[in-house]
Amino acid sequence: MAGPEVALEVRNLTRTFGTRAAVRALDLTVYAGDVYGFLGPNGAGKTTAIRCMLGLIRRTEGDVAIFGVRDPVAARRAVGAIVETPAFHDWMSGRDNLRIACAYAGISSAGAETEIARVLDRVGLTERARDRAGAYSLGMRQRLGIARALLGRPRLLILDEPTNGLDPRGMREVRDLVRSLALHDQITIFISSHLLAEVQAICNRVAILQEGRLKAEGKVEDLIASRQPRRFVEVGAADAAGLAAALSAISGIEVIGPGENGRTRVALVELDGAALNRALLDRGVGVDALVPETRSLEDVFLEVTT
Amino acid sequence: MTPTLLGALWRAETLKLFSRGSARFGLGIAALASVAGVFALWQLSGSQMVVNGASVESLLAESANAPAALRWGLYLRNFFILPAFVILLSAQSLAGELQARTLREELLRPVPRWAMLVAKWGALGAWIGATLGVAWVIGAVGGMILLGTGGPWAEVALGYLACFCCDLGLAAISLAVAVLVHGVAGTVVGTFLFLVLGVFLGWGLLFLSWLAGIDAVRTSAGGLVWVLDWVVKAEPWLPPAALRAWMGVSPATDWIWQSFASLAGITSAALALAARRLAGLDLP
Repeated sequence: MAGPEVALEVRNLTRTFGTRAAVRALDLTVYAGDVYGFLGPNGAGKTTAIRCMLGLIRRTEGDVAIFGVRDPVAARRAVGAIVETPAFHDWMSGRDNLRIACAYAGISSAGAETEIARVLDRVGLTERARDRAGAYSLGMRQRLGIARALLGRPRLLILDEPTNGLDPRGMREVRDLVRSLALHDQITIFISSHLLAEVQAICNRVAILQEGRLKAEGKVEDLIASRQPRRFVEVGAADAAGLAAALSAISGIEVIGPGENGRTRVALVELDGAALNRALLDRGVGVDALVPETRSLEDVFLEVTT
Repeated sequence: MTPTLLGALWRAETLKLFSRGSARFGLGIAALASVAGVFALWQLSGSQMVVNGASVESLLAESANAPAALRWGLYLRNFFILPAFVILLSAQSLAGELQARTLREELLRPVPRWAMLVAKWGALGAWIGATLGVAWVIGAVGGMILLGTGGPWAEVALGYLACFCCDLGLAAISLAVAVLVHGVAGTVVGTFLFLVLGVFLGWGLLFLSWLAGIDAVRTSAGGLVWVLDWVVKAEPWLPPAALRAWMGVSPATDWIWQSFASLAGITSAALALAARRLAGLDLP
């Protein structure tokens, strides 16, 4: 039985500038339907890698295939992309910018107006489409950039820092749009971002890059689980002294130290949360808080990149 | 890359170019130059001013007609201003877009870079054609009303066509410089330097031709005198001469076929160089 369709395959991608390697032997596989997060600290080589994937800059070594197509020009038929801050012909209207993009996307002039109306509606810019692009706010420019990337119904959307410089409302708009594109339009999404909570919220798989090297890759939950050998809880009780005495008497746990709001941080070695609760009740301690401590993608990111 | 797609790119680039303030201003200047050409000839053809013992009116009696007004308009158009606009617009459309990163946005699509270059060159051709078309209509109508309909229409039309080809060549050179220097100011300066270099080379050849006419020099050159004669003949092939090929429209000048051949060669070479450099360029 054939496996899932591969949307983006990167093998041994390397790009050097003089003696400095910005991307080193990068291997990635993005499957159709993935929302794939591409993470890394500033200067990790994310944008360089994306530019190489899109054929904007030359590769020193390596191979990139998009839906099996290796020729960069032909491969871009299936791709819509935003690289860093989208640029526009600022003296032209948003709609005219999209008309030019339609020509470059190979959309016939007969079909262009319908397609422009569709993407403007998709990003909520129909009302402002006649305004000069130069007069758009940063959030509107970002949405116009996504509208442009959506022209021609790409199967793969590559977004490089799409929420950069946006205010919280703008960030939420873009995040909701990306999620909706993945869910409703079945577009495979490859997104690079610094905002790890955002990535964790919308991505099913991630790669973490540092100094041009791939440091970790996989499903978000697997990455988190693989780096969380022990689980932690914070336990609180009105009788703090009684709680401390009970915890020291219970085996299968390890008291780590004080937690937040006067609670005690405990590592669950052999017991789970429910068993700990029962053990405390058996010892006459009235537990008023038992908060499981969950690890986030941010924790994984910090571990991997330090 | 199909002809249909290339046509669509050309239309898109033309829409973009004509929406630029500088392109519209250039069109206005072209119209103004044509009006000025007609008006100047009309005024001088009735002038009692005396030059070398003859009135200007009598000197222009034979040649004050609509085609002559068009010719005057063409001289004015090509006196520095419109060629400068051709260079500026070429610079803006390639180097300017490279700087503004809009070139990158368009090349994120499945379009070979050479096709974008050809579309931009074609759009510049449309603008050049528009400036000449506007100048022709204004000059022809104004000239016929003020000066009459007679005169060498075909020869002047050929001059306008030659000017179109020359400006296309200049646009190609500017695009090649734009790909090499990546900046608008650098492209304008670089193209001027290229042309100035050609002019200096022309002056050098003029000096050589003067030397070649001196018997003592020919004697001392000995067996190499053929080199001197051959080098002197290179002048019509130089870029400035090629870009002045339209000057054959003047009654005092012949059409020089070498300049047209050189223009074709320079244009092709400039486009090929630009396409090659653009293909290997890392886009920011």
